[in-house]
Amino acid sequence: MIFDPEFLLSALRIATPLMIVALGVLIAERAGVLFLGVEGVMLCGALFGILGAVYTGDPWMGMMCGLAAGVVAGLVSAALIVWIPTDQVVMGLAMNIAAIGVTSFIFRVTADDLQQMSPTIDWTVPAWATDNAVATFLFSVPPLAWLAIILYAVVWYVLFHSAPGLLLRSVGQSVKAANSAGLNVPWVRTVALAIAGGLSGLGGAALTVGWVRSFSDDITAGRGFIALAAVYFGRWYPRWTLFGCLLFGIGEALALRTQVLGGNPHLYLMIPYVLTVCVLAFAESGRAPREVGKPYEGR
Amino acid sequence: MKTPQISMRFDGFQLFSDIGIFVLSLLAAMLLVAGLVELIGGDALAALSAMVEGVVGSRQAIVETVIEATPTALCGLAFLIPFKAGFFNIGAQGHLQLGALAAVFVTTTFTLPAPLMIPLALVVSALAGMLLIAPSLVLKVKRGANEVTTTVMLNFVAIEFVLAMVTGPMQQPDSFFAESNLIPADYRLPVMVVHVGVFLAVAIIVAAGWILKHTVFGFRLDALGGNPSAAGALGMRTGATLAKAVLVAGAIGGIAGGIQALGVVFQVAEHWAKPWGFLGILAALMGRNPVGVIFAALLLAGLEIGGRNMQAMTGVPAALVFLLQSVPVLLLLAVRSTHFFKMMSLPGASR
Repeated sequence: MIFDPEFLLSALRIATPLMIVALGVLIAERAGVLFLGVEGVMLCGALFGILGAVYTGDPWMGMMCGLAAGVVAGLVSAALIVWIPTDQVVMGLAMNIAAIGVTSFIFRVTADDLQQMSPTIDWTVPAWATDNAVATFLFSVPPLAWLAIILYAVVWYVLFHSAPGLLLRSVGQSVKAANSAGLNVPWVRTVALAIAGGLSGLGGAALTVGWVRSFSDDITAGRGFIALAAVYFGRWYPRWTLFGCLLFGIGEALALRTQVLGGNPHLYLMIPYVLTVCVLAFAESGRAPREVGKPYEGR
Repeated sequence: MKTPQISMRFDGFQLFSDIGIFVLSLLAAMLLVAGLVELIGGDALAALSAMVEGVVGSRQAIVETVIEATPTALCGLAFLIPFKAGFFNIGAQGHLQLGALAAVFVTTTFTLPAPLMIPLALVVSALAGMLLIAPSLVLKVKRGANEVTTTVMLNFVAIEFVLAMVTGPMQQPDSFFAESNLIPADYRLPVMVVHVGVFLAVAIIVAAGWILKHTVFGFRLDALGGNPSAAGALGMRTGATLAKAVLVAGAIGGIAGGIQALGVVFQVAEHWAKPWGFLGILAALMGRNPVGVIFAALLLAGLEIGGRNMQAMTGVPAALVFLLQSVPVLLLLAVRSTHFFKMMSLPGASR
């Protein structure tokens, strides 16, 4: 049997960082910013997360460090692509390369301290629950996965059922209308990018602190882009984005099991990307926030 | 008669300001790197001089730099041509991967006289690149799908496909590693100081520069990039024009991979490709026109080669090179985009 609890857990573990990062991308895109620098922001979060966890000895402090690094990186992105403004695609790509440089450099400098693995963040299954299969499963789900699910509920509610969420979405839909209504477009986008950066950094930290428990150069290896893909797959809706992330997790978990399944692992890894392109092909266009990728020069 | 003179004066000023800004950006990035080196207790001056030494210190170093710059320059062109028409091609890395795989497949599977085989392999590389970019084009034109997303996705598809091939049907028999067979010695690109792929690349880039500047096609691309609806309203077949530009870009990306496979690495393997596709985008943004792309690619490659020497000689991490490559571009674009410089360089300098 392939779809046993073990498999589901490994898929969930792989999907957790993606889920958190994708939520950040979703917020940025809903505010009309194409957040291509997400890969670099995630990488910064991954490094500072592990540094925080190793130096303080507390994995949750590590997560907070990742979050803080992400917010800073998000604000830098905002300075470059909202306030100057430069082209969002180009700036994002250049920032990704810069982030590889910065993180690899800091990693070299601190490598001696990062020899040890960071403390684990997972819960141990309490003694009373070991007999109960369901309880065991629930306690084995990584805490960060629960956190991610809560974050999705919160973001869904704020985006679609609250006034600030409406403001944010209106900026992504039409800057002209938002501007006429008296909204300060650059500030809304700056706040959105700070939140998006924070979530991306948190997701990066979830990758290192919550899963791998160590750092290596370019450890995100395109996961930021996968999160971006999940958002497009999900047509900018939290629940479908979450589903997209789980699909990527399942694809990667399948690839880890090819000895059982047969076939080439890389073909399984290809599936989510092909699926995303297919979704883009068949989904009706025009659902996307209209202002994504366009710099706002109305100041 | 006055108008052209004014525009020429503006062009001259713009060129000057561009190079000026760039030199200043590079200096700022070097200062940043020097500061970081000092911060970790290294000798900044020794590190930077080791870097320069590594690029221009010997004939071999220069040759290495030129070879390293070739795929970056071609990928830069693959970004620049559709960019003129308003299409962001982020997929050069994938085209390069697939193009190299195609070249290796052809040369290791079939037997032909070398003068036939090498051009054939390059043509197949180009076709592979076109095949990979075609979905992005079709989805953009027919369904309005954002090309940035589709080209990024197809990059991953290409990379996973190459890995699947070199761990599966195309894996070198008896090899423990994920690598293909080596291209037979006959089918490798001949070497004249540098392999002939370098000359081919320069020829392609110069030809592209001429076409973009002096032909109707180049003018159409500019029109399309400037205002697609106006171009369409004036009777231009916008879809066909965009299709040509995008397919050519895919072909160039594929050829970049083919040249790299036939001239430098002779096989595809896990992690064989450096991020030439992404560096190419930086080169295109710095260079802004095909000939400028050559110089920008040489600079990026020089930093890479110099950085390796810096690490070998002084122990300063070569990771800093990524900063030297990206920070000047960030600063350059930031400065170029600010209001002041937009006012100063009005004609034709929207980006």
